[in-house]
Amino acid sequence: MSELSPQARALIDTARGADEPMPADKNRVRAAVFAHVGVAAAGSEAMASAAGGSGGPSTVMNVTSAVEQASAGASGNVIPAAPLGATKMFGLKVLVGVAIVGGVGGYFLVRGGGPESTHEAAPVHTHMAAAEPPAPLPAPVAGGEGEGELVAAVGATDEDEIVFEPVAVHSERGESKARTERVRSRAGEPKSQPGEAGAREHDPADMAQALKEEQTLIAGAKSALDASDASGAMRALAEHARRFPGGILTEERSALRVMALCARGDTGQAETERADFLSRWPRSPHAGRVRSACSE
Amino acid sequence: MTDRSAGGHPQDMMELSQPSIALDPGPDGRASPGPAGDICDFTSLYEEFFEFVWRSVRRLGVPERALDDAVQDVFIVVHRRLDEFEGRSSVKSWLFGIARRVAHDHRRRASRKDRGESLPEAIADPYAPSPLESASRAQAVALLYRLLDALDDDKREVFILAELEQMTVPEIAEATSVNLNTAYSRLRAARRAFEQAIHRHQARERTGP
Repeated sequence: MSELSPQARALIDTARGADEPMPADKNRVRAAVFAHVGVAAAGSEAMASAAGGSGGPSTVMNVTSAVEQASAGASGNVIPAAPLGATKMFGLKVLVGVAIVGGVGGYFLVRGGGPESTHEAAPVHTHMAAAEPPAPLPAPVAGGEGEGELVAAVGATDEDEIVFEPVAVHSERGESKARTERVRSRAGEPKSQPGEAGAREHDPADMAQALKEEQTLIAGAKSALDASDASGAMRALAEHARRFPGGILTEERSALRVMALCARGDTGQAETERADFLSRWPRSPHAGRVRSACSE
Repeated sequence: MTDRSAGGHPQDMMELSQPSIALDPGPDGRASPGPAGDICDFTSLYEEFFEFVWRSVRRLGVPERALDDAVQDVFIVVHRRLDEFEGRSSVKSWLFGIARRVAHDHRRRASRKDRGESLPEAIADPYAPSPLESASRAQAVALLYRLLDALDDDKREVFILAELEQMTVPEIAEATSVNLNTAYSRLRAARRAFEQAIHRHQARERTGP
């Protein structure tokens, strides 16, 4: 079974034990629970004290620990309380990233072409459509995004074998729209074909470079959007979609598309893509902005 | 914290296939059913496993503002079902089975306001160090939870149990009510998804809309 990378392991090792409750948490919940179930809190605290203090072992619990170990061969795994309680932690803004040095390449070895969704566990090489020629860059006019902007999400899990495949939908006006359909992969059916991103997936240096290029495109799109240049943003996003259809920043691209569509007044398409975004990434940190994009 | 002593029962989400907590040992070292709803056993259970339940519920994504209520609900259900525990599973597995349902219910009810909804503004240097080594433990926890949020429920559960609680896969299978092969499969997928979440986090730290 695959193991975690050193970076992931280091993060877990650092965090484990640091999210224990404080004694006050235990006392507070104890009082509420025992009031509900009809046990005097004072009595329970006395028992806790007799047992060696909060969380201390008791004869009964020694038995249960033995049961646990006999049952699963695992230790009780009682982690010592850390000086920081969970109450103190969750308001903190996450300011840190995981170590990059020596890590980017390693991550990319796993990441490959990248999943379209954090809910898709196993990344399958993603591509726009290797059988089709690359879509041209959109013309720098409003509404000029072309098929190259189609966001093709391809991914699969070990369990459900669900993949996303691109479907180009042409509107009555002849414009292309993105649509994602969930389809079930079939045994023996190739899930992907190598594309620009896919060709790089096994070379950490290339992958790091690809990520850098993705960042440049997404940053360009954001800058254009910040400058009220929605069409410019759309062009940059289209370029990203063409070159990195299953890139690591696909989620960001999709979020920015919704915002750009709203910015240029294409609320109908924005609504469609917003719904798609929220369906695919319901827990995205961008979800709030995407939801309110057209009302800002 | 919600006062549930005035008749506010938590929703009974338990349909556990193996509800049991045997706090009295049998001659073979396995537990045998203890006295139903034994106050002493329940109290000891609380004292011993409160921390496990607390951090499990939190790691399962219950917002902090609902944490007290969620943990309270877990133990209320535990109290109600204590006499049903037969010792076929570990106490932790049983407790986690309750906690995951309670957590799911609380998460569903909770607003998503607490989830980070702001898009990263800064475009950081891709090669600037963002060293984990310098992160405080609190920051590491916050980051860990954010990454856990990127996993779906099934993967999140097995990941928590395997990587944070260091439970065995058979225990995980019990706690999550799946067969062994599925537990292995989910753990493999969860690890992969977690790595991807780290990767995404790295990218977001550097680039974002």
